[in-house]
Amino acid sequence: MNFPFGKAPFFILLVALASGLGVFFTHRNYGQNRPTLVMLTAARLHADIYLRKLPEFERRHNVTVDVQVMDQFALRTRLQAAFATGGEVPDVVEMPQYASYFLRGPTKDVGLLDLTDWVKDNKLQERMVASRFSMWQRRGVVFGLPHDVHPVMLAYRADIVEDELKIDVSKIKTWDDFVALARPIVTTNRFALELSNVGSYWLSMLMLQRGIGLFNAQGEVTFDQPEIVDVVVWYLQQLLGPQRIAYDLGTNQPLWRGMRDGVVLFFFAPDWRTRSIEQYAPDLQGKMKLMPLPAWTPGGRRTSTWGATGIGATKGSRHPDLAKKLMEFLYVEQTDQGKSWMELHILPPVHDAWKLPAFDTPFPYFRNQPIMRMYANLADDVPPAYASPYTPKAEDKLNEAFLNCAAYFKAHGEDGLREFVRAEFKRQANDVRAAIARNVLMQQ
Amino acid sequence: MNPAAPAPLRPRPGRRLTSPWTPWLLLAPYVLLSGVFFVYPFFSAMRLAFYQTAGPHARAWVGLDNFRFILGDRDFRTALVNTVTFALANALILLPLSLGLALLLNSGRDRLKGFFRLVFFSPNVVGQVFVGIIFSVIFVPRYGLMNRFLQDLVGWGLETKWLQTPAMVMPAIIIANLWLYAGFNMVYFLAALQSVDESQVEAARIDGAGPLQVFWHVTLPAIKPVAVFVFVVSTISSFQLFELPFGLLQGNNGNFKGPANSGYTIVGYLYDAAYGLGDLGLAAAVGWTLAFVMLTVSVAQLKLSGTLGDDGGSST
Repeated sequence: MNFPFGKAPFFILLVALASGLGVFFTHRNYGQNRPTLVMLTAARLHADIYLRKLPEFERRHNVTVDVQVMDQFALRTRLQAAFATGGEVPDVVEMPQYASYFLRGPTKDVGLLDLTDWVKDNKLQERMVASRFSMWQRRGVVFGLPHDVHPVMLAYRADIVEDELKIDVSKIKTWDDFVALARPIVTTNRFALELSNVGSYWLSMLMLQRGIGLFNAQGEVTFDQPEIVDVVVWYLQQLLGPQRIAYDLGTNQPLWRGMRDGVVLFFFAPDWRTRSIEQYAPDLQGKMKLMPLPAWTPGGRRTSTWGATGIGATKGSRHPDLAKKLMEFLYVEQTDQGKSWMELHILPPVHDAWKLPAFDTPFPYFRNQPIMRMYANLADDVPPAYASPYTPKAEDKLNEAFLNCAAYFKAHGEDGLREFVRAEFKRQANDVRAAIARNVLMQQ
Repeated sequence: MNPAAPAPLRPRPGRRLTSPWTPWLLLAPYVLLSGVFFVYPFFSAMRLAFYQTAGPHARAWVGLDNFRFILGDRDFRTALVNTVTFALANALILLPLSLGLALLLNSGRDRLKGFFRLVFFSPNVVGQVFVGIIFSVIFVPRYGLMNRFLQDLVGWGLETKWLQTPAMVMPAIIIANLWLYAGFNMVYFLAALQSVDESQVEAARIDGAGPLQVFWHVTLPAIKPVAVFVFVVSTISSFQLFELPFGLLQGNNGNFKGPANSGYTIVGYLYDAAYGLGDLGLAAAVGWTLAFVMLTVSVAQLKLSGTLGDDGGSST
């Protein structure tokens, strides 16, 4: 056979033709057999549970539902691109963290369906934890349902704290109490609390507990309000001060390894983290316990929140009403008596669900504490965390401010620290305000 | 006529393409593809730089405000400083290292040359994102390979938080980049070294020149066109740095910019404008600013090396 341009281009052409035909026929086939609803999620664990539940929904409505799992990052960017270009979109999408990436520009241009009236008609804000809607709305327009509450408690090595050191944690009501009890037990190889060197989620969570969000309900920047100084100075003292009680163990395996080794005795435990430690440090079975967060002030809030997932329907959905029914079925209805929530160690935001006996199950890992009941008791006190299209920028600026304050603290100690923190957070917050102010389209 | 010579090509029977449209018809695929994928996006991006966009369809004319914002933005300045630092490290560490490797290989045995060339070049095959992810594991404090190696070698470094400490992030990116590209640039230098005229080297040696003098007065001038090419191309790609820090830092609380924006680059800023803020107009303005910076730097490099206006021939 004669190859006038060489063999390589011929084979490239062959591969291109084969893959092109493959894509064409697969797509055509999918188009012909397209399920009634397509749902996208980034959480494989969630998808496994939905696949168990969906046959009932499909039977009830005589429809088919396809659940697709995609990496979190790919999901966000592909959906953004699909919204921007008018490309094919799923009917329902489960979104990790804030929906902020999808809430830019005029409300009419948001690619997600406006659920405000539907939520109101079905009294979902009363049936669910109201503060959790803060992450899935913009200026009062609701674009999603919350999947979870993620209240935060402190998990601790009960075998060391209670059995060995004889500390009565029920006496700890405030962070001052905690620090007072923690200081004597800290050694060069043992610390009381985990805190991150870069601030990040740990700082945001403590700020929320103090009532400081990145934004308020109107979308205004609020992370430079005066109380921030107390939180940051406290954080720096405990992490970097001469009488430090905290240590940065990192996340995931290093953290669980550190907990096993007893390097840190208390760690921040939103509900989902209790599953992680159980999975990655099984030898701590029966050695861990949970307690509410110490409050910033006597009688103050004993919890915060860390992380969020939500679900929304797209404007491009061919069956928007059915999509809403699917969201309600998966997020609000309790079809398996709470079994799936217990599997995930995640507290649902649905008040009725908490009445299920499953939520009173004792957890042997946590010395038989009914941890889901403990989380449920704190759930209504979880602070709101309002979403904004500028949330990612605000998070960056918050961390930058924190790191600059940490550098100041290392160089100068507490001399002038409070003034520096105030000015630095103001400066960074003003950067976000400036970015928002120049967005002429957001005002529409 | 030589019987071994191929027969002259004869026009094949059939209709001759004599229509005046024929050249246009033949050019059409190229013109069409270029128009759709190069010319239109080029002018579209130019126009877009004067708009603000948000969401899928909304846009508003803002004139030069995008450029004004970029030049006044602290984050852009941080990204610029980080990118320039990286480009300088590339020029001062990576390229001499690549040249050094090439010189070593060039003087080595032929049988081992191919093997080492493959070894040094192979990291480049896997790509920046993959290398970023590998190094994000290598740089893990306490359990990472890098810290274990440092601890064993100099008794220090086990707890170094490469990717969590602002001052350590850029060195981490530079180290990962060295591993990735030292072998790649080495191949260019090696090819240039293999074309150096051996008789000139021999003549210099006979005249009493030492190895350094031979390198400085014979080898370096001989490989200058290639060296300048590698220098310029390497600088341009330094200014386009994005995937490596993205892969390296993404696992660090999901923030690809690094703590205090220490791994933020100009292309990272562009990406953030487009996908983080959803403002394609601002992203286009960043793109044009970057193009201007790269053009300026490249022209300056060519001018300093005396190559601008040269025909690219050997200067020996």
